[in-house]
Amino acid sequence: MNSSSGDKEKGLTRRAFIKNTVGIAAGLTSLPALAQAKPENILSPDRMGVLVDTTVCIGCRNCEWGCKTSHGLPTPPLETYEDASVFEKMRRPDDKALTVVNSYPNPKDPKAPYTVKVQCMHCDHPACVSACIVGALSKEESGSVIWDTGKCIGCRYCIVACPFQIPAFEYYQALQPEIRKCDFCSGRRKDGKLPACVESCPAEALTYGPREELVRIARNRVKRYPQRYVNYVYGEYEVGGTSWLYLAGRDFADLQFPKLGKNPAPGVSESIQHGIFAYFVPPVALYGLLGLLMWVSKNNSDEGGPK
Amino acid sequence: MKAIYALLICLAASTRAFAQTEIPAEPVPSKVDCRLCHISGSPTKEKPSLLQCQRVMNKLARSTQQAPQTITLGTGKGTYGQVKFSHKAHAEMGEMGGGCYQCHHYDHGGEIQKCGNCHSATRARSDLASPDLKGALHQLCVGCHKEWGHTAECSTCHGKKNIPNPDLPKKIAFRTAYNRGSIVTFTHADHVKSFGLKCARCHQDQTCSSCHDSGMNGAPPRAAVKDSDPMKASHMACFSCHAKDNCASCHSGKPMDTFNHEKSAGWRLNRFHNALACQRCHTGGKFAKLNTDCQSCHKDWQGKFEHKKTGLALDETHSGLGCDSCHGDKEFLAPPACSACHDKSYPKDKPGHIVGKG
Repeated sequence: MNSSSGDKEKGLTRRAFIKNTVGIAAGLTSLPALAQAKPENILSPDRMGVLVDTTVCIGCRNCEWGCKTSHGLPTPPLETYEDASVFEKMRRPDDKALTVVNSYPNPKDPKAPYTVKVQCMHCDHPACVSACIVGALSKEESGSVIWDTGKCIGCRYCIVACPFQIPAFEYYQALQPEIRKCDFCSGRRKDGKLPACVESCPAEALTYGPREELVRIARNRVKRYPQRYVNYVYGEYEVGGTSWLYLAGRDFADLQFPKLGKNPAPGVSESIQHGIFAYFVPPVALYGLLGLLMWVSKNNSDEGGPK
Repeated sequence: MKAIYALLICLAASTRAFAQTEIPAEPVPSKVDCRLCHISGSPTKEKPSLLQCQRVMNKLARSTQQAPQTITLGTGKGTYGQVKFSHKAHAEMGEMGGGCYQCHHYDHGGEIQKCGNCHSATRARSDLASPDLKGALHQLCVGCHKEWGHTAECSTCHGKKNIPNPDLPKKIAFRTAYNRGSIVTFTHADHVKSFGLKCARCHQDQTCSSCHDSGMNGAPPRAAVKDSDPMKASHMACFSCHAKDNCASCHSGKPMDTFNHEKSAGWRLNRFHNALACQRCHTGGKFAKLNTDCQSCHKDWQGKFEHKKTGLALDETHSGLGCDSCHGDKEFLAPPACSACHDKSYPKDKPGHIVGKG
């Protein structure tokens, strides 16, 4: 950041500047915190999760109401949620509704369609946390992926990075728009309460508990009722595992669940992002190469170049 | 000294052995295999070694007679109020489907278990293998209610909404393949009401929507003439009673009228007699002509009958009269006119005069 005029005042040659720059860059590589951009593994073995059994869900949308009420979002009275006409078109969570329920036909029983709650999956290796350039997002030990509004600069990289297209942005806010998404009721849970949606579900289609136990329960249900479920627990391995797990009565692709690999989503983006700056070798190498070229060309011009 | 020790050891050993073979206070009914619920064959109270609840469907025969009429569900502390659950009506409907164990799935043969005995009253809990009480109840109810009601309206159960009884068919004409009389008329209302048949006597393996979803919620009304089930299934239901009837008793060329007692027996049933099941008068499974004299059935009415319950208290003058003095022709429903006996000055000029026949 030193200005060229300053260099001249101090009587530094170009060669000396390059030498210094390379030296500083090489010194920086010894700072492991900068090179280690990947968050350290904070996943506790007894971290919590929610098992969503879409075959139990009755589509009452009490979870939507409970979520809005506990997050201070404007909501019509609970009675209006009985209106099933909202199921006519697919909805996505947004800044005004952090969770929504959609309906899909049930080929086994047309009279009882499947209803599926959508919200942040709270990945064990969240892409949004990895993509956030100011470290506003973080994965808590309890399982929640939360964000610090004070740090957020509104770059919306998290929106692009999320494999489930969950984070929403307050586009209508001219001043200080914020990122909004499900926070897995981080605050409520610290107070010893259940997540608002889990508490308001009448049929306990949402089971809140330690993730490891939920996986066991989910597998047990599939084993017990093979006719009822497809033999798959969505979220067990998706993008390295998610805190929210799903059971379904028909193929997850038919319920608009994205087909994702087992590798954590940050793996790809981080390998590119961090690869560019890994241990500062590439920038040092680049500047070194440029310096070498300049030095070589300067020597050439000194020796026999035309004046 | 050694002998005393040996005796003591033997005594201690024998008491231990007796303690283990002690007969339990409530013997486990032999119908249920212990290993259905317990991992080991010899569970103790301290170590029940229970399997994780597998929602075992023990199909023990239970009578709906002792089933409670209504039970109140829920604490009423939530957003919605308590639910008055018509338990007996559901139990009787359940007989047409899976029986009591559709809901009471954990039945070890003793007293029927209440839902709250196993399902936790609180949602935040450590044992997550089975749903909490609220979840379990909703999972049981909403599945069927949504199937035939097509909604998940909370007010259906939590409000004072009365679920209408399904519109039972009066008679159904079945079209059959029998060439000498293809139509069989089934008088459904008579079989239910007059013959006193329980629904489950004929209807088995039914779902809720097979009755509740037809003719309701905008579903198309029942057809006047239906194609019958395959012969074997439909005949089996009828043969348990109609074993001695011939084909023509049921098969006809055109739909038959429902049973009319006046037309067939020559004796019109008044509204009280009409409400009775046939077997109340025609005992012993025989439908032979009965004596129409009232006292042939109403034998012990004297001393029990209080005339004032009809709206007219008899004074001492009238109480001495025989019934047929006023109620001629065994007509007890229409109140007799005073003028049949008294002249028009009655009751102004008491006691009046007796006119006409005595």
